[in-house]
Amino acid sequence: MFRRSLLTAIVVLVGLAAGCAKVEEGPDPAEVAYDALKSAWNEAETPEAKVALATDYLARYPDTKHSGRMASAIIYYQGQELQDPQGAWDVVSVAMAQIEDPEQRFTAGLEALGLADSVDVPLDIATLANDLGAVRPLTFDEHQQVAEMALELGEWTIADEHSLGALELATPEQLRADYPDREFTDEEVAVRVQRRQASALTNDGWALYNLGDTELAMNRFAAADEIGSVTYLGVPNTPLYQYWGRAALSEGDVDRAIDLLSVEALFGEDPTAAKPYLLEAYVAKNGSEDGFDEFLSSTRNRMARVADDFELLDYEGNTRSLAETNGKVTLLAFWFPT
Amino acid sequence: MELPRLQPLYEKYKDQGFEIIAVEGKRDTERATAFIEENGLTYTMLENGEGDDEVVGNLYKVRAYPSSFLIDRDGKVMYFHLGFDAGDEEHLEEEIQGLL
Repeated sequence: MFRRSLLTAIVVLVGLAAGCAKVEEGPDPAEVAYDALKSAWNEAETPEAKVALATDYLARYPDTKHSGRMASAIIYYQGQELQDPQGAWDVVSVAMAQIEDPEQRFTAGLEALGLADSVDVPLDIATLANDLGAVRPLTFDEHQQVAEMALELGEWTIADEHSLGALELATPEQLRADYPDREFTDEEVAVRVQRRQASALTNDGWALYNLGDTELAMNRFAAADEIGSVTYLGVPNTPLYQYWGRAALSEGDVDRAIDLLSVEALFGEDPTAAKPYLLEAYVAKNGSEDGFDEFLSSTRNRMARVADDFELLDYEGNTRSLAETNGKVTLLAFWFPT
Repeated sequence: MELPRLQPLYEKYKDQGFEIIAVEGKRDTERATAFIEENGLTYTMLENGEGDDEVVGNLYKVRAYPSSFLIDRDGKVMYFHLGFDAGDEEHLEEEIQGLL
């Protein structure tokens, strides 16, 4: 949740900065005020100042094409930076009640869902999606966003519905339509479509499992595993093994749960997410936590892959290889200068 | 920025058999060399290749920067780490100590 809002905040900032030079021709007071806000935004150095600007704008012009952005800014700066989710919710919920445009209400609403959850206010995610759906079909990304939010909130039926919506849009035609400016080869399209399918199947599997349809859920997981892409260390680029492993654990298939959760907990991008469930599976198999650390390290040793050698140039023009470090402990770090 | 935080770890453990290889993924030579010099980085710095020699995305399937792999004395990848936030180097140091 935090990560998503942070991203949004960055998008908001970039969006605000990028729009600086634009001059609106019409006398629309909301746009004039927006231009003023953009200059003021760059001067605002504290979260408090940014919150004040966005709050003031939303109060004066609650229903414009900028409403979603304003709401995101308030949610990020007030709700997270200043740790005042209630205050942020008060502002955003009042504004949202006045936003008539379903596009803006959807954008603001998706942002506000996490906030609503943290102040214990139920926010109806289905209505937001349905209102937008009444105006135009949701995109793949929007279906995914709704599904993932619904999974987080435990709204399994909605998650199922929108995962299937996403799955339906996981086609080559739709992918090309979503990126009109990119010239993908057929192969690139195929890879990306499979990623989309795998992600939608993973989400749907977890929704279905929680809805009690275990058999279909397991089929979804297996199908996602078949087509999904994995990292260099063999971990799916989705939460598949975490969901599948937890489902297997609940079904009493402890060995499978341990296998799946080990991959995620030992080699995944976010090991901490899977580790508690792996421990649970370990205890289910062994009766206690005894030996868990030894189990982790021996499993790591057994599953670890050998790093592929490569040759590249250094900045003096010498050819260097990974093999030069044989017998040493090596940190291989991939970076780029910002 | 993450790379300068690795320099103290390198200096502390290099005599015990610890190496760092940093591969710049986007072939931005000018900025990379300026950055390396500015920060006094002394471990191995390489530039990603092109086409068949492309290592970062094709071989190591890196989708986000910074991505790091910690390799043990037998050449096996024991840890993966995405990102490099303040405090991560403490965790990394423990892992290095565990492998040395």
